[in-house]
Amino acid sequence: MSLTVTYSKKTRQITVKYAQASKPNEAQVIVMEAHSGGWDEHQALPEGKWLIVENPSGDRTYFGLFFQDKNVNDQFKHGIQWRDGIRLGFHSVVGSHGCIMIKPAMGQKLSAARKAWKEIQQLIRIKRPRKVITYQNNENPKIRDDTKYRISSYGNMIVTK
Amino acid sequence: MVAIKTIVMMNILRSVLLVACSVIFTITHADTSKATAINFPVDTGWGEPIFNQYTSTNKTNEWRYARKNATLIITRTECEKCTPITQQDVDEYNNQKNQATTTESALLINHKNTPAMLRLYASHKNVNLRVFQIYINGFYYEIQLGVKKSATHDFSFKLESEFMKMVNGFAP
Repeated sequence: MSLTVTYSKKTRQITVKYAQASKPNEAQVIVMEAHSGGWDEHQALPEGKWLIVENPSGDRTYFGLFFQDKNVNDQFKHGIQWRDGIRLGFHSVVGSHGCIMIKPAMGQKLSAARKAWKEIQQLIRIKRPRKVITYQNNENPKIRDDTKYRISSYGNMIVTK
Repeated sequence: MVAIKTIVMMNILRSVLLVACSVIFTITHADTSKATAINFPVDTGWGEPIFNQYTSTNKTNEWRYARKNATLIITRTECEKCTPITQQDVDEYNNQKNQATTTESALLINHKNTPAMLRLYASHKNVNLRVFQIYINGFYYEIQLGVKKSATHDFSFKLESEFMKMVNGFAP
């Protein structure tokens, strides 16, 4: 069985695809509109692999996204700028402060979009193997934190152009 | 004689090609201008927008304006299968389970005989959002104004006043 999660910055789509090994032709596919960046001149996330984790801030309606660089944690350097606290969640507006925020497509009922987001959360938490990781937010010198945190992770999300 | 005829024919062919290219360029350019034109009376204080086009579920044109402490995003989405906004749509925004944390309120308004929705939303990122949505003539329009809570009241009220004028002046 496999679950893939991808986000395209170009089409502003998040695609979650789940297929069982015994039934590869009966894949469950959820496609939703999602935005990254746009508010207050915040940039979209860089392309690459992101580790999906439970929200380090505790609110389980969001996931945390850790960039898969040399030090996998809640911080990363984007060009010359340090960024942190990237989340995957659901909002009802266009744009975000850099996180990936799923929203209802134009004309889509809010309840239908929320239902699809709930299904995505369940697929990630149930169909992906859970692995507990230890991390430190010790990269950004201005907000260095050497505390060792443990958190549940659920594999990668791929962000493309 | 044959050489002269050939030259004349080549010149005619060149002229035809030139005219054809001009016509094609004009049509293409006109279509692009039409697609990227914005028919909202946006206040000049916002400056020039960043234009984006994407196809998430439907083809969308987006104009994004940014200034200190505020963002304005206007989208126009082609959607032939969409339906006009109803009271049920509005109720869904007003009756969200996590209403206590999202602090979102919506209102159905009659905008020039077309139902539209006006939403007030306070985001977790300390931004007050005002959203206007309307479906008309096969297009779904959305105007979003976001003003940081840290902005001065005068600045916030000014932008909100402009936002209402822009909504009121909107006539596709």
